[in-house]
Amino acid sequence: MMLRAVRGAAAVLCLTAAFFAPARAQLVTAHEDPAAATTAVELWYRAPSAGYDLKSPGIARVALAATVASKIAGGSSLSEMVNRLGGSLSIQVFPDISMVGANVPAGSAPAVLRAMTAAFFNPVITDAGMKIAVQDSGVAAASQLYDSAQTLQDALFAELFSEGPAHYAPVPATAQFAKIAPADVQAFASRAFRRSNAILSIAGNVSDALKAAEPQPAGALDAPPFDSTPVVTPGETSASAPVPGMGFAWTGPRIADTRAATAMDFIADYLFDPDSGTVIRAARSQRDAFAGGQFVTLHDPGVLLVTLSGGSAAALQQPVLDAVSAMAQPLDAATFAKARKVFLYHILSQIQTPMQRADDAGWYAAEGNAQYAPGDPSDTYVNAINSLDPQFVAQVARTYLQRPAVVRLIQSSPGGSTAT
Amino acid sequence: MRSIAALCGLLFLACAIAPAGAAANFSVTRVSGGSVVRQDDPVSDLIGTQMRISAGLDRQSSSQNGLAALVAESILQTPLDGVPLADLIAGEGGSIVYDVDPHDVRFYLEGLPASYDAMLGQFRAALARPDFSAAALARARAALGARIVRMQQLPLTVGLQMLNRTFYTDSNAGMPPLGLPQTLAGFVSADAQGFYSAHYLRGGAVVSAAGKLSGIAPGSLESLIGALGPGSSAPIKVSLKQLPSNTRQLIARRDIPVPWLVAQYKAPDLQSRDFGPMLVLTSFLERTLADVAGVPTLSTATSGARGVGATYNFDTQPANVIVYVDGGGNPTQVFATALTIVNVLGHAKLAGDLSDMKTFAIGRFLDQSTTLRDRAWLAGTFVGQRLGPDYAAQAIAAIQKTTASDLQRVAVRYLGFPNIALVLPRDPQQNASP
Repeated sequence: MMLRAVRGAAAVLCLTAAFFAPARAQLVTAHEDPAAATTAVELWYRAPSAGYDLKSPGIARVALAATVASKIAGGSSLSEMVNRLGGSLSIQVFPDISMVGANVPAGSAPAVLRAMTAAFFNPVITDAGMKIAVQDSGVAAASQLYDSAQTLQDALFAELFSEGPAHYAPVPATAQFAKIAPADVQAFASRAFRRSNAILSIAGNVSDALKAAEPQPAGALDAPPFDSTPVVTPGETSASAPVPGMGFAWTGPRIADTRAATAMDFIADYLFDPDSGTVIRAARSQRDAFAGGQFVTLHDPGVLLVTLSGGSAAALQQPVLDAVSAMAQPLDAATFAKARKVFLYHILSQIQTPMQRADDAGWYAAEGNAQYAPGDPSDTYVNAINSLDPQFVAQVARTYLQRPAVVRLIQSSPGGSTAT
Repeated sequence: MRSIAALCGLLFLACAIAPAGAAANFSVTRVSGGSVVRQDDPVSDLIGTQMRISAGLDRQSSSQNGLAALVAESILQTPLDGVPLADLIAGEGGSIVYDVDPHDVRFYLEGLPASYDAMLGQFRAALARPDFSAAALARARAALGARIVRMQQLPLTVGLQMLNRTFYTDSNAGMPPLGLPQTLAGFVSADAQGFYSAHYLRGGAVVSAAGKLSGIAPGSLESLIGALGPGSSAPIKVSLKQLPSNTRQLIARRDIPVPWLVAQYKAPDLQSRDFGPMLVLTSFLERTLADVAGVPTLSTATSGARGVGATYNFDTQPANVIVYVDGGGNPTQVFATALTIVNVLGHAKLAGDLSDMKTFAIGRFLDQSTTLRDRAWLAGTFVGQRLGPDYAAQAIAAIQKTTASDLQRVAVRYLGFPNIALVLPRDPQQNASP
C-alpha cells in the first residue's frame, strides 16, 4: 500500500516505443478510461528527500515546489496553468520518492503534459519560484505540526532506520527550509528531475493528442530505488508535540515479495481499516483517542505503521499490541474468507478516480514493481490476494511482527514546554 | 470601464480547451413512475448505485423532526439472516450509506461486480420489508446519535443547517437532516412504519448506477423501484416565518477553534437558463475567496480541507449558493471583500473575453465529478429534474454559452442579500450544551 493517502494502485501499461511521437526516455505507465472526463498526468522520481548526501532535509520538497512555481520560458508556471484550468495540482514528497501531478479536463491534458515535462526535465528555478516554494513548504510544515499521525510516522521511520532517506522527515520543521540555498535546490532539481529518472503516469481519458505528446518510454530508469538501513534492534523514544500520542512500526517484506507484502496489507486492513478494522471499531468506545494503521509498500523493506493519538491514546496501547500479536494465529476459515473479500473491495475502492490510479501506478513503479500495482492488467495484486490463506498470513505475522520501534508523543504546552 | 477579465486579474490561457472527450455510455429507462439511469464504464473495477426516493425532510410534519433519517437508518439496520443489511453488504465486499436531503433520501450502494447482484438483492429485501421493531429502532437511534455528534463538530454543517431552517419557508425541508437526539427518542415503530408507507413510493424515485454495469443482471436495478409501493407523495405544506430583513444573521456556538461565517443565497434551478452563469459565478467566487483569504498552497486543497469556498447546491429546489469563510483571519472582512466583488460584477459594465472564467468553471465541475458516487449522483440529479443523463455535456454547454450580460443579470438577481450564519467558538465559561 502506498504511504499516507493509501489510494490504491493503477493498471500499468508499458507502452511500446512505436506508440509515441519521437521524444526522450523514461518509464511510462498509463491506464485509459474513455468514460472519464478528466485526465491525471503525473511525474514520479526516485530521489532522497534530504538530498543525495542526506544533509539537506526538505530539499526535495522545496525543489518540487520551486519547479512547479517557476515560470516556464517566461510564460505561466505549471501551478498557474493548472489553476487556471480549474484542475487539481498535487505535489507530494516521501523519504525516497517524490511526485508532481495534475488532474485536468481531458482536452487540456496534452498542454499540461508538455508544460510539466518542460518544467521538470530541464528545471530552471527562478527567484520568485524559490520564494513561493519556501513559503509553500513552510505552510506544509505548519499544517503537519498538528497532524500527530504524520508526526508519529516521521518519528517512527527515524527510529526504525538508522541510515538512508527514511531516517529523515520529508517535510521538516519550517525553519529548515530557509536554510536551503537556491543553488543547491537548482542542482538537486537538475539531478533528481532528469528525464532518465522520470516515471510518467497517466490515467483517465487518454486522447490521441495526449498520446502524441507523451515522451517515448525506455522501459527502465537509470537509478535503482533508494533503500534505508533498518536498526538491528528497534528501540523506543519520545518527542514533544502539540497532541499526545504513540506509534509502533515493524519492518516488513520488500515489494518484490508480493505475496508476503499483500499479506501485510491484509493484516493492516483487517485491523485498521477506518470503517471495518477490528481495532478501529473497538477503539470507537474511547473518546479522545484515534487509531490508524497501514502497511507501507517500499522497495526494501516495507513498514507496518500504527499510530494512536489523542488524550486517551495510552488506553489503546495494549489492545492494539494484543491485536497485532493475535495475527500470528490463523483466522478461522469463515472469518478469513469474509475479510479477504472486504480487503479486495477496499483496495479497488481506492482506485476510482484518474488521480488515484495515476498515484498508485507511479508509486509502485517508483518503488520498483510496476506490475504489482493493484488494477494492473497483469492482475498481480489481485492474484496475490487470492493466493492468501489463513496459515500464510499468520506465518507472515510471525515472521515480521515481533519487536516494533516505539515512539511516544508527549504533549507540549502552548508556550513550548512539555507537559508531564 | 475595465473589462471583467482585467478586473478579475485573470490571464487568458494560451492553450486550446476541449473540455471533455468522455465516452460515457448512458441510458435511461422509466419504471412505474421512477427512472433507472445507467452509466456504463467497462474499465471500472466497481459498481456504484444511488437510489433517490422522495422521502426527505419536506415529507416530515413539524412533529416528525428526524423521522426521515430514522427510517433510512432502520433500513440499513434491518437484519437479513440475522445480520444487519449494512454489515451483510460490507461482508460481501461493498458498502451502503445514505444522506437525507431537503426533498429526498439518497442511498448509495457500492461494491465488487462479482457479488453486486447479491448486494442489490439484499438491499431490495430490506427496502421492501424494513424492520421497525423496537430493537431495530434502538440500533438506528444509536447510529444516528453518533452521526449527529460528529456533524455538530463541523462548523460549515452547523451553519448550513441554521440557514436551511430559514431558507425553506413552505415545508420542513430545512429541519436538521438527522433530527435531534431528543426528537428521535420519541418515535415508536408505528411512526416509522407510517412514514415509510406514506413516502417510500415509486413516484419520482431515481436509481442511478455507474461503473462496470455488465456485472448486473438484467432487471436488478429496476427491481429496486419495484420494492417500493405504488404512487407518489407530496411535501407536507407548512408556513414558516421568513427572517425579517433586518435580522439576517444567525449565531451558534460550538467547540471549534476559530469562527466561521456561512452565507446562503437563492440560486437558479438546474433547468433554468441561469444555471450556466451561476456555475461560472460560483467558481469565480470560490477562486476569489481562495485568493483573498485562503492559505496559499501550491497543491490544490480538497473541499473538506478548505477554509473558504463557494458551493452551488443545484440538486435541490429552490437551489442555493453557499459561501463560507473560516476565521483564520477576519471572516467578516474577507466576506465583505467577496460581497464587493459580487457587487462590482452586478453593476459594472462587463466586457471582454470570459474564456478564462468559463475554462475555470468547467475544470472545477469536472474535477469534482470523478468518483463513482459523484457520477451516479450527478446523472441521477439531472434525470430527476427531467433532463438528460449526460450531466457533463449539459453543464459544459451551459457554461460555454454564458455571456457577460448573463453574468451581470444573474449576479444582480441572485447575489444580493444573503442570510448569514456565524458559528463561533464556545465561550470557555459557557455550558457545553448546544
